[in-house]
Amino acid sequence: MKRFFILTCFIMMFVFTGISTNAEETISYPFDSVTITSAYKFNVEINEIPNESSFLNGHVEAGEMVTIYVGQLKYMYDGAEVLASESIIIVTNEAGTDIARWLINSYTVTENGFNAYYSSHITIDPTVGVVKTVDDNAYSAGIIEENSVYQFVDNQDTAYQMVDGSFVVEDNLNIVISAYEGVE
Amino acid sequence: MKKILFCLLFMGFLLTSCDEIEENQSSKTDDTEQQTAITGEDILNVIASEIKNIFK
Repeated sequence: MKRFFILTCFIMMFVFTGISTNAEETISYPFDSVTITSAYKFNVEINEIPNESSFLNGHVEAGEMVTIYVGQLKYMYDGAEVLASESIIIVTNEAGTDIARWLINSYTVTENGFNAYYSSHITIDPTVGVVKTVDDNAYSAGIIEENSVYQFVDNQDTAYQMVDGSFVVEDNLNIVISAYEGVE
Repeated sequence: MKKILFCLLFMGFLLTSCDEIEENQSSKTDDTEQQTAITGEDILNVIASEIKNIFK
């Protein structure tokens, strides 16, 4: 009986050690780097002071030129792609201040182009990855492309037409940004 | 003799468990330090500046 008990203690010791080791090994992160694969930009002119409910209000003056940057992102983990076709919008005023840096929320292909909407409630948490939270006060902004003509749309659905000749695109980029050092 | 052996085994079991707990705690502390070192905002900052630099 005692032998059996000692044997059980031995077995339990190995079992506990095994479970603990496995628990450590399951710690993982969904991505460890982000790659910018392409990007484009265009300018829009803000003709009037935006509505008070617009996220642009207080950041731009009437007649100011705002630059819209969009980057296509690829999330990688251990050299493998985990999230593709992601993108980010950066809305920058003439002073160079970023008014918005939001990740994509929805993308729709239309007959002659696409609609892409970005939202402030989608963020990056280095411990989790891309995080989509519920936030009733979240702002959104959109890009509407139709026959290679781009429009920027604020959270009040006010559309701003692309300034002619301002569109620039850079394809085939491979800019790797390390998110953090992985746990060893 | 068997009682001594049993006590030693039990002590070994307890010490092993304590070591595992300590290792887990220090591992968690290290994780927290690394997680707080870089924020999501930092990552967005870098992505934004890299994209803007492309067009400079």
